[in-house]
This record gives sequence, structure tokens and C-alpha cells, in this order.
Amino acid sequence: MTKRILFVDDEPLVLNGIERSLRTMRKEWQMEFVLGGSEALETMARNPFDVVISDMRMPRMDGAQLLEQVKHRFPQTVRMALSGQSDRDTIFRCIGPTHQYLSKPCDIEEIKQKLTRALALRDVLHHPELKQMVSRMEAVPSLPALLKSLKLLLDCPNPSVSGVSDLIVQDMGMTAKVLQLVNCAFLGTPARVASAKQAVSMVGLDNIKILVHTLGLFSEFTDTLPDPLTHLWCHSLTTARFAQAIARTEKSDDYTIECAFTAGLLHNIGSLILACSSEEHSSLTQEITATASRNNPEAFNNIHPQVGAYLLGLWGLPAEIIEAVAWHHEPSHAKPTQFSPLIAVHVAAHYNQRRQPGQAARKHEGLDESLISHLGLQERLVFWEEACSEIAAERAANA
Amino acid sequence: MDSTVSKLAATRSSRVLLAESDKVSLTHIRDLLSRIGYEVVTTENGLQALNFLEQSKSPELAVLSWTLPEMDGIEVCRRLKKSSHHLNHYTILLTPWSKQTERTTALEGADASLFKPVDVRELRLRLQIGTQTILERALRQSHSETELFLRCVPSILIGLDSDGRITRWNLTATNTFGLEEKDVKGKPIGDCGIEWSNPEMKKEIDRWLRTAIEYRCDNLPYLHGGEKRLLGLTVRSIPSEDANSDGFIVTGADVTHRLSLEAQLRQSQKLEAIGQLAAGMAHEINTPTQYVGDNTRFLKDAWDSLADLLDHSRHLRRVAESGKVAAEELAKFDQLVEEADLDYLMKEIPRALEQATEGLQRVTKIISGMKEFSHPGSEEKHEIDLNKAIETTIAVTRHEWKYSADLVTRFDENLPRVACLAGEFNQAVLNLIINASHAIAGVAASEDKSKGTITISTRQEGEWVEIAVADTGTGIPLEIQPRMFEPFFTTKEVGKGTGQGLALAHSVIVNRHQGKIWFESEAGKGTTFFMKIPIKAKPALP
Repeated sequence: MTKRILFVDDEPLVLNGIERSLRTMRKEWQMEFVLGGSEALETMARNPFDVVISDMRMPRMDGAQLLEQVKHRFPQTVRMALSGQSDRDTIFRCIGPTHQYLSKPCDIEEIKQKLTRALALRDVLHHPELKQMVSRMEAVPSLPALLKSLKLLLDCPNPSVSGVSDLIVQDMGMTAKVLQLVNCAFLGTPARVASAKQAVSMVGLDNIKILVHTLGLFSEFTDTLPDPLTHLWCHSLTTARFAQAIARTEKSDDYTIECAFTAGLLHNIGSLILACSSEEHSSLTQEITATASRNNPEAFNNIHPQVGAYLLGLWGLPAEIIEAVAWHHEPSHAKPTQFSPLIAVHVAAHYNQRRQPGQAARKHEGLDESLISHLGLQERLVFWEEACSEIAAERAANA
Repeated sequence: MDSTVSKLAATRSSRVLLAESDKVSLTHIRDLLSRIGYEVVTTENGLQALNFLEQSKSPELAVLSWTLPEMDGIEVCRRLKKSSHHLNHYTILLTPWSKQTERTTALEGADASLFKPVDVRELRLRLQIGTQTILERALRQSHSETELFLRCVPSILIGLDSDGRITRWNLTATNTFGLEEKDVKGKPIGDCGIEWSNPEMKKEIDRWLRTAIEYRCDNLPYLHGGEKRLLGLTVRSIPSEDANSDGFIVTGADVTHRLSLEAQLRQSQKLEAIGQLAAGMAHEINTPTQYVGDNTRFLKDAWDSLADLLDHSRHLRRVAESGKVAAEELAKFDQLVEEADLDYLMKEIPRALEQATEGLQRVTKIISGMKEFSHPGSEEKHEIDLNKAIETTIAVTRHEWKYSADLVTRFDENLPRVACLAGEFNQAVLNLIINASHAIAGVAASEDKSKGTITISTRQEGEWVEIAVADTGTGIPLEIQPRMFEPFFTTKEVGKGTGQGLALAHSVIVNRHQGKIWFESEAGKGTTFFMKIPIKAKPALP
């Protein structure tokens, strides 16, 4: 099925240029070009689109207003900005409704690549209602205790960047948000960043403050959390440390080690998304599993990796992280040819699972041993296990 | 006369404190004092006498007996001398003949001593001396306060006699010129050692002194330690009773720092405006860059397809020469035409070339406009075409107004060239255009979404040209109208405006061009700013 893309810009020459340079994609993509926000909404009402990509500064309805409307009226559509705007206020206004931000002038190859990825992502998650729900999310709720500490720290006269990033790297929602900002061009040139710590120092504390206090993009739960949900953070952080240790054992490059940590932290973000949406979208989640609830996030096991990967993909996080999140249950699906963050997270999640009380007996259940041996890594398992045990012992000692 | 002195002279000179423990002596001396015209306050106790004197706010005369209960007279005098009031009081110690030998000791603390029994004439004399002494002390103190005051005034203060010779020279003058008071006193001001940069200064100063009216001059260049500095001076003559001058007072200050601060402020406002422009300019340049890039990319891909097609055409030509062209060769040709999307390319390539060229022209125009706008380094007035200058400013601010307003120009085509500091003039116009577009955006945000209009017109009016910038914006509320040109006054949100825009426009038009700036505004209808500058240049104030 051909994918449909809508381009919006008040400058016809920009649209003409894009139309010509993407002419080669005409067999795969059906592209339409309109000159303003209201025309865009009319066109979308006639025919659904997979992606809308809009200029920001336009007369009458600007890009942020348009994407906000699209979010409500056509939630399944991926929302991208292509803007030459450098004014911080305008950019902040569109962070919420925009999945990905491309900065003008943008090489057509980059536009093509981002569109291709976003469109490929459409097939990862099949459930249309889930797609809509994930696509509407502007923020993933943070652990209340972490957010509270972060707010306290930011209100200090001279908060340190390392203090702030130490908190952010423990939280799924905050990590995903800062990585979205730096991997898209929201704050200048886009960079391929996998580490939340690096992202925080690139975003800067001034902007973090605005995200927290003004934009509310580090959001909170409105009520108290049931224990099993709180447990997700602890589990995620352990998996992140394990995956990082495994990647270190393999002497991977820094980027891969960072991907392993972040993917480990985020591997269960889909469960979190489903758990906190289960109340609002009760009909939806009942459909997925009758037993799922906030008290039982495990019940989302079949679908949560795809839900998480879909959100992170929409937000433009590095492909390695998305791959690891999407396939950490069934890594062979991604057809890996060598060690990667996906393998690290798959193994780390398995080790972490095994440490849970009552799980110790099932030694290699869930571990894709045939894939590991296919990759020639079965000899490495013992080193990985040792590295993870050390981390576990450290964490136990600290606790 | 100083207030302490006058108070003393008017009220307190006739009061005496009498401290005496011997009842007979007390009555006797009190009677004597009353007889020679003094009001008397009495006590029999030394400590009470000390308290009275220490607490009195005005200078006192005191007559104290040698021996007194609780504290003797000598001790009262000693204590008084140590306290902060001692200079205000005059103490006379009554010394018995028996203590004759100790009288010198007594005098260390007291101002005078009298032998008992008291001789009335001597007492009267002593008290008169006491009054005099108190007066003198008060005068001396008041004088030294005045001296200190003059010394510390943070501006130059120079006194001249009627011949222009220096009589007074304060600390600031010393610091400014590096010349001590003792070295300049008595010398003519024009020849006292100040290194004037201008050799004509001496004559100039003589002229000031002859005209004997208030004379003010800014930016007099002089040298201090080899460094060129600037001085602002005011000369006032001190009128005497016979209508001649009794001398002059010269006040002033080194204004080098102030002038450089003002220049910095102008510069920083310029930078601020440029920064604001740069953000918008980036957007203006990004847009054409985007489509120039896309079209170039398209042309490259198109060329790849066309090159294959051309190769094959050449091949076909060769084959055709040697005989019949095979059907599959023709089919290959058709396939290449199909793949290249030839009809599309034929139609779109000329357009792509045209639009890429157009894009480059737009970038060029923006960049040359920016250069023209900022006029780097023009510190002199040049005759410029104001209409053209305004056009340039309109072009560089396009992104500021194009989303909220249409801009209309009504230029007087016969406008003469006007002597102008082009960079600063452009800055003033820019600030007015930006304000106009913000005022219109204010309406757009609050009411419907239709665009407003900015109208810029120029016309000649005798020796002046008038430039008007009118908007259909929110208008200026009556209560803030008087504050419009105040520096740092702003109604914009924090971070949106620093309140420098109109203050700068005012300074540029009024100080730098000897022009006028004013506005007419009606709430809800809009505002028109008018600027009027003389066609022929007048010297600019700094």
C-alpha cells in the first residue's frame, strides 16, 4: 500500500522544490502539497495521511497550531516540522505536538530518510487504536519521587548539570524526552545521541527548567502509583546497568554502550504507556488483554515492546535503541548479524528476570540460545553473567 | 552663617551653668551672674553638672567649683574634654587660694580658672572671652566642614578671581588634571598647567571670562598623562554689588567615560537589533536555501536520467547510419524515456532552473540589504536618498511584518538627498517598523486574524523632510503616552523588548540630527510616528 505524505508550507517555491526532488519516490509515496494550515486540515479530512510535514511560521494558522489540531483530529498521522525558525519561544511551542523536527535548510536525503523511517515504523504496530493513543502522547509520566527531586534540584540557585542528569538517566519518560530533543533538530543541529547524560548537557539546564516548569513535558501521575508499576523503574534501571555492563564486556564503542544502557532503561516503556493509559482507554486495553491493569503491567508482555518502539520511533530516537526495544523478546526477528544493543538488552532483561524471587529455577527460559550461538557468542555468556552479578552485588550493597 | 553659630549668637550666649556645693558661695555668684545679665542654671553636684553639659545640644558656658560632691570640678572638665561635646563648651574653674599651686593642673582640663572669692569684673571678662571662644570654635568647625564639602564634591570646582586667577581648586580638579592646589593657586586658569589639546583654548578661556555670562562647553579635549580625554565645563561669574564680576566659579567633569558608555549603549542596542534581525534573517535565508538545494538536487537526478538517454540516442544515431535500427533498440529508447519521466523533466527542468536562480537572487538581496542597512563605520553625515534607505530597512525587516501586515509606501519621489548618519537613521526606522508590526500583531492576536497595514510616507516641508510610519495596531493607551521615549520603558513581555527602541530613535533624531520625533495615537485605531530632520546637516551632539 502506498504511503501518503502531506507537505505544508506558505512558500510555494519550497513545495515545488520538494515535489521535484522527491519525484523519484512517486511510486512508493503519494505526496500532496498545500499552502497553509486550513487547506491542510481540509485535505486531511478528505483522505487520511500517514505523515504530515509542516513549516512552522505561516500566516494565520502557524505550524504549531496546525500540528496541535492534527494531533486531536487525525491522531494516527505522524507529525513532523520542517522549519527555518530559530526563535526559542516558537520552537518550544511546537515541541509538544511535534514528533520530529527538521531544520531548514534540510538536505532532501535527510528528509527522505526520516520519512522512510517514520513510514516503516507504521508497520511495527498494527493496532490502529494503539497507534492513535501513542501518537497523541506528548510525555511519558515520570516516577513521582524522581520528578520531585529534579524540581527541588532545579530550584536551587546553582544546580549542577551532573546532578540533574543523574536523576534524568534513571527515568524512562525524562530520558526519552531529552533524547527526542537532541536527536531531532529542535535545539539546533540534530545529533545522533544515545546517552541521556550527554543530551542533558546539550539541552542545557535553562531549557530543562522550561520543559519541567512551563511546558510540563516531564509529566506526573495524578494519583499514587501501585507498587508493581513503581517496580518497573527499578527493573528498568537494573536492566540498563546489566546491558551496559554486557556491552562493556564486549569492548563495544561508546555509542553502542550508551545505546545498550538507554535501550535497557527504555525496554519496558511500552508497559508504562499501556499501564497509564489503561484507565483512559479501558475498552482498548480490555481488547488487548482482559487481565491487564495498572496493578499488573506484566500482562502487556505481548504488545508492549512494539508500543514502546513506536513511541520512541515517532520521537526520532536512534534506530539501534528502537530496534532493541522493539525486539528484546524475540531478537531473531531483527536478524542480527553481530553483537548489538539489542543482544545486550535481550540478555540483560533475561538475567534480571531470573533474579526475581521464584524465577531462579528456569535458567535459560526466554533466552534465545540458538541466536546467541548462531552469532558465536555462547562462550561470552559466562563473562556477561559475571559482569551482571557484580553489578547486582554492587546494587544490593548500595541498597 | 552656619546654623550652630547663629543659634549660639541668638539664644545661648547669656546662659551660665553654675556648679557650687557651698550654699553661701552659690547664692553670691548666682547673684553676681544675674546682675551682669546672665540667666543662671545651678547645681550643687559635680556629676549633675557633667550630665547637664554632656546632654546639652547647644554650646554652654559653665562655672564650676573646685570641690563638688560625687565628682570634683577638675574631673568634670577632664571628662568633658574627652567627650565629643567638649569643643562646644567653655568651662571656668573656681580655684581657692589654697590650691594656688595646683592651678596649672586645673587648667589642663578647664578653659580658664578664677580665684575665689570671685571678682565680678574678672568674671564678666572671662565669660565674654568664653562666648567669643565658643563662637570662634563654631566658625572654625563650620568652615572646615565647608572645605571638606567642597573638597569632596565629585565634580571639578575651581574658583577664579576677577582676573581669572585660581583661588580655589578642589580634590576632583587635582585628580582630573593631575595638578595640586599649591601648584596652580594664583595662576591664570588658561595657563595653570592643564594640557589642552587645542592650542586656541587659552584665547577661548579669555573670551569666556570677558563676556562674564554663564558659559557651557562640552567635549573639550585635553591630555592627562598623555591620554586624550574629554571635559565638560561650565563657567559662571559671581556677581558683585557694583555689577562687575567678583570672580568666577568653574564647574565641570571629565565626560570621557560617560561618552564612551553612551556610545556603548548605542552599540549594544544596535547589536540587540541585529540579533533580533539575525533570527528573522536566518529564516528568510533558510527558505530560499531549502528550495535552491532541492531544485539543484532534482537537476542532478534529472541529469543522470538524461545522460543515459543521450548516450542511447548517440548509440541509435550510429546504428541508424549503418542500416536499420532493431526494434529492441527502439524499445530500449522508449523505456529510458519512460524511466526518465521525460515529459515531466522537459516541463520541470526550466522551472527548476528559474526558481533556483530566483532563490539565489533572494539570498543575495537579503545579504546586500543587511550590509547596506548596517553601514559599518559611517560616523559622518552623508547625503543619502532617504527613500532608498527606508526601502532597504523595509526589506531587512520583511520577516517581522509579513505575517501580520501589508506594508505600503507613499514616498515623495522628488525628495532631496538629506545629510544623514545612515546607519543610525536606518536603526531608528527599523525600530519604528518593528514596533508597528508588534502593535498590529497585538490586534491580530486579540481579534480576527486579518492582516493590518503599515504605511510609510516621506515628504519635504521647507528645509525639512518628514517621515511618517503609521500602523493600524492597538494604539498607545493615553496613560503611558508621556513615557514612550523613556529609556527602558517597555510594555512588552520580559525578553521581548528592552525599552530601548524608541529611546534610541529619539536620541538619533533629536540629538544626532537636530530633528524632531513625535506621535499621534488613538486606542484601537493605530499609531503614527513622525520624524522630521533638517535637509542641511547641523552638528550632532554626541
